[in-house]
Amino acid sequence: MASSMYRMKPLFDPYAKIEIMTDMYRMKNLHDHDARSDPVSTEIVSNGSAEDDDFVKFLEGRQEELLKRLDKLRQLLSEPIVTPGASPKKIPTSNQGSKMTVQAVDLVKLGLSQDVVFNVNPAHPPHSLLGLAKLWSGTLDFNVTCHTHSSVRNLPKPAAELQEKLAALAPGKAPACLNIRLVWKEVDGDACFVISPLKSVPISGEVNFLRFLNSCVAGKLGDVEQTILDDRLDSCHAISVATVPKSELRSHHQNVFEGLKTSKWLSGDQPSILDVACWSLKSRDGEKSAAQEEAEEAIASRRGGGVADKTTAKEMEDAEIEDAGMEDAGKGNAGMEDAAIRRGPTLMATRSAQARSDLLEG
Amino acid sequence: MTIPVNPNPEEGDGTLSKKAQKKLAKDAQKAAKKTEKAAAQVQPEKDEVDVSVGRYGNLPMIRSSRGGEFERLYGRSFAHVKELDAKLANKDVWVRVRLQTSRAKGKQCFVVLREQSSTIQGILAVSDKISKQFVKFASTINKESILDVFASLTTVPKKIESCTQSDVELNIKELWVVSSAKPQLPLLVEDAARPVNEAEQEGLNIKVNQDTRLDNRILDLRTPANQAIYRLEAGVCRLFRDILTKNGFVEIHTPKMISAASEGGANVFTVSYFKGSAYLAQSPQLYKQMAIAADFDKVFTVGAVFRAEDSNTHRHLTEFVGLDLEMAFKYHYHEVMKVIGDLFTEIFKGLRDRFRDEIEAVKQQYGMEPFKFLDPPLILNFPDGVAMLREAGVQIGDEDDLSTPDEKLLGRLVKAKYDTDFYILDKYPLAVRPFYTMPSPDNPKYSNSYDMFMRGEEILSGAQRIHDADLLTERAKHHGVDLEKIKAYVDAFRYGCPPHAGGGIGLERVVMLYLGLDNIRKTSMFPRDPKRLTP
Repeated sequence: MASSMYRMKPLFDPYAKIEIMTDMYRMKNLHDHDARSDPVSTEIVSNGSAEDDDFVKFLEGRQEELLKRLDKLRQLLSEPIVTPGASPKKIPTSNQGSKMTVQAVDLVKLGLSQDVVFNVNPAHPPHSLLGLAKLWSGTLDFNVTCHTHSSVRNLPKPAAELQEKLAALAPGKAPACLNIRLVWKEVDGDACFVISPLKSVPISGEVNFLRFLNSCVAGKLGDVEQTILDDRLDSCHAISVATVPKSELRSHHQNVFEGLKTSKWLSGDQPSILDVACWSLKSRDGEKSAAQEEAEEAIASRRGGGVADKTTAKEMEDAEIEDAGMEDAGKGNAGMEDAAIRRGPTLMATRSAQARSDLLEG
Repeated sequence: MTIPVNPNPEEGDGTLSKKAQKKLAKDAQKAAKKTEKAAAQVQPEKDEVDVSVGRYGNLPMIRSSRGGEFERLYGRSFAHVKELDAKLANKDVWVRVRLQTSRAKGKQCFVVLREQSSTIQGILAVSDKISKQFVKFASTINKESILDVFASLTTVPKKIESCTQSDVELNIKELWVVSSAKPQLPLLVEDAARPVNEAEQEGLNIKVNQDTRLDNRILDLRTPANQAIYRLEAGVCRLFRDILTKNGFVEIHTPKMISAASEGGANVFTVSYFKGSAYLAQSPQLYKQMAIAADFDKVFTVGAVFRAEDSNTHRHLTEFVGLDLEMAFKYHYHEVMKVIGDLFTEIFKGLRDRFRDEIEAVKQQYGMEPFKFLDPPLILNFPDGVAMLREAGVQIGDEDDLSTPDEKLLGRLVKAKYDTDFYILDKYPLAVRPFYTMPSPDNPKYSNSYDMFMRGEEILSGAQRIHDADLLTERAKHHGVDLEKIKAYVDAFRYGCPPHAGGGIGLERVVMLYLGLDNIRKTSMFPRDPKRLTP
């Protein structure tokens, strides 16, 4: 210690002897691990009169009460987040993924009483809108009005093509209709979704827009499934954001396609929002080939391991087309679309944009 | 200057006091000394040979005369200041410019020369070819005088931030005054052009107020921002004409002197008309509709409109330029609304693409936000607008008209949500529209009418007009309009008239709002309001 400082009297003497009082019960040191596991010590603690028993009961009751309250709180927190003005929705606890609930979607309750604005960067056309229209046909109709913001001078061809397709969306017979104003605009990232500037913050990113709509329309899954879905959607979003380093891209791809290992669709046995998000992403940029190939390889190898016999990517694709055909027979026109979505990881990468659009129209 | 005061006024001028006499003598002595000194100063200069004779001076008044010293001037080619850049370095050029500022510093004289919105620095330094007298002459020229300057263009090592041509300067070789300005100016163009926000930040707090500007409009109009505003205004007018003509519209001219007030009657100017009186037209509405009834199908007109409203606000003028159009349609008035909406989009695009420099010049001085719009324009129904306002906490009835603050608030809400400064509000309540507006077939409370807004202010009000004489009479009665007064108007529809709709905009207001300016007087070259008839 520096000698230039005042010398102070020690605050306590660490070596002083501590006198232990003798007029109380002697207890074993609680902090001593070995002592705690000693059954004798508990005996001493609980060794009391009838008065003490009452006290323990009182404590137990109190603990029960606290646990109950905690349970309640947990239940409250696990409910899906609803937009302001909406009353809390019942949680559909079914494990059926994004399969539609039968009751009509009440848009007003969800705070979507007016039209919503979907600002989209024309470089990244949101094909997901087409996918959604088919995925939720009969449950929710989409009425999309397209505008071009003054910050965009010329609309690129893919964007213009999508605009035509959206305009051609026939009004369905669903009980609810969501009016979307699609604005081609120079936005940060790929898209920005505005519900009401007064009551909510904008939602950034196409994948997050899908996530939000899904939570409104399809409700929430079980905790585990929801977390897995959210995680994969996060990966999907990460892939869509250009700032993610290349090294991480591969793991994100793997994460997204993880579901194909065990089930027909990216998430469970039904087409889900994840399939739509992924398909839209792949339709958007066919040129992002390097990372994509990696993902394909990863899937192919994993498939090879998972399914007993080794199938090549090509064979897999053929098999899937057959599957799609079968679904076609069952589901009608929507099946083709779904098939296109499903084949996302393999077929989408290899086919040209034109072929894809043909498929869609078909 | 001091005026000698007579200390003994009773004595009169004839007999000055001794003190005063002494003072006078002293003054006289002083004056004599002064002239002597001045003469002594001039003497050596006179002795010196002026090497620059014939390179500077005042040009005789240009009266387009031939012969004499003018002969050598013909055929001289001039460059525009805005074309002068580093590419023309070391070349000699003639320019005709105004002197914005001059600053003499020893044997040098720096000048800033301006041609319209472009400025360039000029330098004159004493040398073997430039005499002291030349430099002195240059430093005594009044600001805002018009000059012919011959100079060689040289690049500068450091950018000249105060001039638009910042890479080059003029090494003046000849300088002739074509038209001299008065030495005292009511306002300096430099002050009038100072950016509004900069004046607040810095110590330089010379602001020219609006009235001084309007009283000395020709000087004020010389600022780059004003040069830009009126060029842009001309652009709006031209785009309006071009786009509509391309769409098959016919330009018509309607009378400005009318016999009876077309709308209401309270706010019209009366002028004497021989033995009786006439009114100044407050809208070409009736004549547009008559042109439609006369099978012109699509018409537009550009002309003065007069409103005798005693409102002294930032957005009212008593005379303004009206751009009006009327169009027959087949089955739905939205055909017309779409044409008008697209017209605006085209105008905005035209301005954005062709008037970038002008917009930049206005931004320099007034610091505006760029105008944003959607293509095709955003169309909201009136009830939707009301719903948005209610969401924001405004209490408003279903059939109430929007007050000006409500309109502004709605404009901000729309901007926040859709990011557009232009939108159309469709289906206004019938109760708040004039009697000739067609009621909505779906809901009798509403009407087939629309307003268009720029930056939250209404710029166009239009509707499908009733083209049936009987319905028109019924609606007029309902509104309590005197049928006698509108007989000519109603009769126009008795011989068959196609369904039609239209609207009109004020040119000044559109330019003001496009540029985000705060006063309509900034976009009217010689504005007329209840308190101003001159210049």
